[in-house]
Amino acid sequence: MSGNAHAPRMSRRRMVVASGAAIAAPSVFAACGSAGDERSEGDDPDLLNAVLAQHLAVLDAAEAIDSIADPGPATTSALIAARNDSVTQLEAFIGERDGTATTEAAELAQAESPAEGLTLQLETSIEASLEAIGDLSAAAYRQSVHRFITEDAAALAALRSVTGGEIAPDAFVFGPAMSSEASE
Amino acid sequence: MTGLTRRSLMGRGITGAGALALSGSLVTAATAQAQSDAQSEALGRLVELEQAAELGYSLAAEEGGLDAEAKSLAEMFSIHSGDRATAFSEALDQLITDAPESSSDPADYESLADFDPAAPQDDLLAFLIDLELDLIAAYESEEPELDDPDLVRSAAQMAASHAQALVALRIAAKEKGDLTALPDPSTSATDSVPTDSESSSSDN
Repeated sequence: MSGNAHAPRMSRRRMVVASGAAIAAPSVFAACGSAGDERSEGDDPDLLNAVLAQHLAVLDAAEAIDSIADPGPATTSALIAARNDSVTQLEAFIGERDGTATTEAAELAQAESPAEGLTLQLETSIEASLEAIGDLSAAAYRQSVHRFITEDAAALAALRSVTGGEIAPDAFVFGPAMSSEASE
Repeated sequence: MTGLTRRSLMGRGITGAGALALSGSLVTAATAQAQSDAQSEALGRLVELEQAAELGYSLAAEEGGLDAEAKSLAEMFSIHSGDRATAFSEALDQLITDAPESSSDPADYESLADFDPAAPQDDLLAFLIDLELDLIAAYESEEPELDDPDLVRSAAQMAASHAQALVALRIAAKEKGDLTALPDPSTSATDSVPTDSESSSSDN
């Protein structure tokens, strides 16, 4: 009886596979239903640390730009404040799961200028956060990382407005440009 | 947010007080069904908001007295919203749930109340900025209802795109200060650290 009771759920989840929607959003739905049942609280510290390391790197990149030639003072200071908050929040989440929060920032991307460095770092942070968010076991963790991704994307757009890139080019934000291009 | 009333989701699953009398395995199935229904309902609400945005931007581009730069943004963001509505509508199809029907009448969308596509550019941009803020807030508030990992990622990608549209519109409106300010998350669960019991009961 329980097998029958579960059958509708499993069959429906398995139906969520690549479709026309995946044409519009290539990374969307391709593996729907495969990982949701496999989430584990034990994986949370590593997933959250991956995001934390990126946020520490964003802080380094933002502080460097802040002290040299800030193309958007209000944006940069807001980003630094947001990332200080997110670092604190991620450390708390990791502690909640009995993990140890990393203190090491991810390796900064090589760039010709501080502005380009922050741009690349924000893209990398978005990519890493998108990689982690779906596998986090707690809805509150996912919601927080969702917020962080949105903050990174807004800062990236503001930075592009100064450095000359297209501000809001896509219906779906990916990570570095290479990821976006590969999906088109 | 009116999409819910157009769908009768209750008829498709075991939910509500009736599940209390069922065996453990059926309660588990009912919980999964309820989570799935909540996910579909959240997707439906987001689709409707994207459909409204697609229409709003389209009308602003066609009928508004926008300068070339703002018109170009409106045209692009209309396409973006249409792409997102299509993506989540396809997801709903795969979840065996009807996606909301799109409409060409702004009056059919709550988020387009008081929308005047022929308003002066400053007013129109102010409306569209508020629209983006509402969309960002909606994605954030609906995110906990999404269970499937790929849908969680997709929603984040879409919300991030809205955040970038918000910045672009603020620049077009010549706003000063922090162009990246987002809706206050205080009404969301962002600040709450879940307990293990909360996680195991409502997640996975």
